[in-house]
Amino acid sequence: MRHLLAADWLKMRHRWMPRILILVLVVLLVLVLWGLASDSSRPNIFPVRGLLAALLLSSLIGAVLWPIMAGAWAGNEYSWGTVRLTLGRRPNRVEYVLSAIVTLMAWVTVSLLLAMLVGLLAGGIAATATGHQFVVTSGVPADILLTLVKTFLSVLFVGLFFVSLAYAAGTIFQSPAAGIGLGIGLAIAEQILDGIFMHLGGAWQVVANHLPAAYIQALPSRVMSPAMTGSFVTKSGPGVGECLLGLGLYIAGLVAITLLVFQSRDVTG
Amino acid sequence: MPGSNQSLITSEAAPAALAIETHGLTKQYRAVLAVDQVDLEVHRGEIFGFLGPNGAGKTTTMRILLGLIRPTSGSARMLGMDIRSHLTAILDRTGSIVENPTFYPYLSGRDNLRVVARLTGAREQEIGRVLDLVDLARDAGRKYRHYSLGMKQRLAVAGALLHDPDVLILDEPANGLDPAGTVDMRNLMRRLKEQGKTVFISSHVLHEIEQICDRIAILNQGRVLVQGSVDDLLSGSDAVEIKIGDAAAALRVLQGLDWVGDPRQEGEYIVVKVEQSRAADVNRILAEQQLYASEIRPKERSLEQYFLGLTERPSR
Repeated sequence: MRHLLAADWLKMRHRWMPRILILVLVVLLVLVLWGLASDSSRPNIFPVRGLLAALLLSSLIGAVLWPIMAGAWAGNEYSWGTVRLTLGRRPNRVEYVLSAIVTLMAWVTVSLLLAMLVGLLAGGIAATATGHQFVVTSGVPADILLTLVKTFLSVLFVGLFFVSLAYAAGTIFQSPAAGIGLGIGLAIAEQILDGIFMHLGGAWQVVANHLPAAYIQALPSRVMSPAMTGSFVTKSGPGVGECLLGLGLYIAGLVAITLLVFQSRDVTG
Repeated sequence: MPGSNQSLITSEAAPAALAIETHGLTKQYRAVLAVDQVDLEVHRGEIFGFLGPNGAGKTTTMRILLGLIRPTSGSARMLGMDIRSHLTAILDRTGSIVENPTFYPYLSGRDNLRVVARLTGAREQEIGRVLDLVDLARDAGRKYRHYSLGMKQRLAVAGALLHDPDVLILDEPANGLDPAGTVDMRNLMRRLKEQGKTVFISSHVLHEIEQICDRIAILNQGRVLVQGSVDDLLSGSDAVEIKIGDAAAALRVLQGLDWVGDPRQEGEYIVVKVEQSRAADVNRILAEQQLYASEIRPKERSLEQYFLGLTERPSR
């Protein structure tokens, strides 16, 4: 596994796409924080709460960015034929999939750390520009650091779902376009379905509460809600434990399908 | 053994001496039988040519050996180990190029070899050595997507040699190489053999194969038609060439003999199909007619003639 991880990380470091996607994340984050600075949510973007806001916004933007990276990563190995380069030297296919997912999650982690840095700077600038100190401590709960760690992990967990979804699509259809398209498309389709089911009510609403979209929306909000003010985060939907279990099952299912297809596949072409 | 009626194995070897060994190897894709009961024996330290027309099953067989494709039935062993249970250990000692070279287009040649080094556990210091070996050191910093086909092929060879493998599986390694590159490749194969490495090579360039290979197997429609040493296979001709002054008269005489087949003139020689042991009888009969041959010799076949003779007729 260490051989695959070393090779995958080298490939990641030299690739332009991850850098461009991080740049897109940073730009969008700055724009949104700029907008929120003149909003009633303004106290939530000042440091240290601003770090939580940056993570929540990254989770929303990541619903598009993480599938682009993961779908392209999986599908390009087929379009370039490089899956043969790797499997002709490291034939363990379970390790191949796990190494790719770990590498992609390492990139998501780096993206989130950068997003937090941007959140800190942008929030600090907004705070000083509005006559506050760079770090605003009034009204901030004492356990904010613990909340920050939990939020970071919950956003990573949501990212793992998107990475698994797009990686599965890219692998199953052996195409970067399918990986990206299905990764983003399913996430959007799910939001639409969620809206329809909620509107229908009754049993449909129960189904909607168990779609990945429900867990994805609820998990980071629920975790960070004690530290935030006003209506910045929603406090409805499934609880944290339910979200972790539900999303965990979806992720396990996606990885299992990927392994099942990839393990029995003849690598040709 | 199924398929053995069409296989000719001209030399035997103890299993320990075999680098690659397959028994009844078969791959079926729905209605297409890509590889059909293939039995191969590649000895350690030899250059083994794997020949066949397009679609004969050469690449599929090579992919099975590398674990990229799972066989429908049959078994394969490399370096004494079963490919099903010891694939990782086998690939640690195997270098390969299968079909077209595949590398990451956004990486330079050198960085692609760094990826290969990390996958194989080879030392990165070895990269300079293999780049020099394939004459790519000057272009190592260029992106792979800007490489010519010949450069891509040479990078693939460098990648295959990076971890100093015992066995090389090379599918059409001379593809895209210019004449000088082809000669370099031939010399490289010979050097590898001198170092004790086993080279299992497929190629359409039969002239090259004839020059460098110790033994060959010819595959057609998924089946091994023949397998053995190049010398043995090519010397097994059943024709003789006769150089004689009055060729027209000699042809008339030979056409009257029912045990002589297909007499014809090829340049300054008359070629007849006859057992080598009866060449003296041919000479005697011609002499009785006052026709004196200045030369009678076995007709040598080129690998190309031999290959075409085998693959142009139906194998089943």
